[in-house]
Amino acid sequence: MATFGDPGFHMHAAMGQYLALLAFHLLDDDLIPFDLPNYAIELRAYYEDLVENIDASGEELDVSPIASAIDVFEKRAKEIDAQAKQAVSLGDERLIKLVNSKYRDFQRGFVSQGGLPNREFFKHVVTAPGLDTGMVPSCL
Amino acid sequence: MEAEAKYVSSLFCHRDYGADVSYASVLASWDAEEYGLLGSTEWVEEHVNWLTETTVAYLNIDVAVSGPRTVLGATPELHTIATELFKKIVFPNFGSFNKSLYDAWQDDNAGEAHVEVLGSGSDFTAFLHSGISSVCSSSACALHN
Repeated sequence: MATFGDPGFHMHAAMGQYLALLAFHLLDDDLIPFDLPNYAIELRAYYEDLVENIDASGEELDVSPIASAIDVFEKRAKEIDAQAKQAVSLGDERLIKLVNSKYRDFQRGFVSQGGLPNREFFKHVVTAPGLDTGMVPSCL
Repeated sequence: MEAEAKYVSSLFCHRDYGADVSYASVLASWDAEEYGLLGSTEWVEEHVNWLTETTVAYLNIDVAVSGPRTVLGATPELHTIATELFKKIVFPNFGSFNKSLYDAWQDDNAGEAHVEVLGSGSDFTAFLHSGISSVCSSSACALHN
């Protein structure tokens, strides 16, 4: 440890500072610092990868319902983001509280109660380890 | 773990803040990660109702003392804040303090470093699949020779 890896634990300390600062903002900012429109951007990228994979496989599969779901998601994400910005600029504490409670529960909506087919431990409908990729994620 | 605890307490116990932060925080260290994420999974299963009613986010560090190259993964709503704050921490850089963790992260990845998608293989898994926003970080791998 004195010679290899992270001698002096300097990098370890820097990551400690980073996580502490991240925790601090999540705990103390008036508005939880979430960026929901970015979730829509990422969903769109996962969708494009999915379409590419389907095309490459030569199979026919209609995934357009996913595209329309992402359109709806994107619209709603922009709405809540606008509401959040308005709440902060007006200093409206009740609206900030409302947005915070929606942000806090935001991820819960991606959980499938029954879990993914044949591997119920994994419940997130957007991202999970691929069926044959070990720990590496596979989306949508 | 010790470093995280130290910095968390130094930030939160500052006299201007004290117990005045809006939410409670829990600092945890998990057993049996390599054996199948046993410690964290058992804990999440035990407390799942409390966690899903109240949790804002889960922050993970795995491979915490292993080298100067950083890896960052997160659920997409956390990408912006995770990246912005990465720019605010000084990279130790063997005594030369002229770049941030973000700069070093980009340098290591030819300027194309991005926040990764969370898969599995670390203790965030049970949290993520219970619908909790998550970040996974590590400082791993030796520099290229």
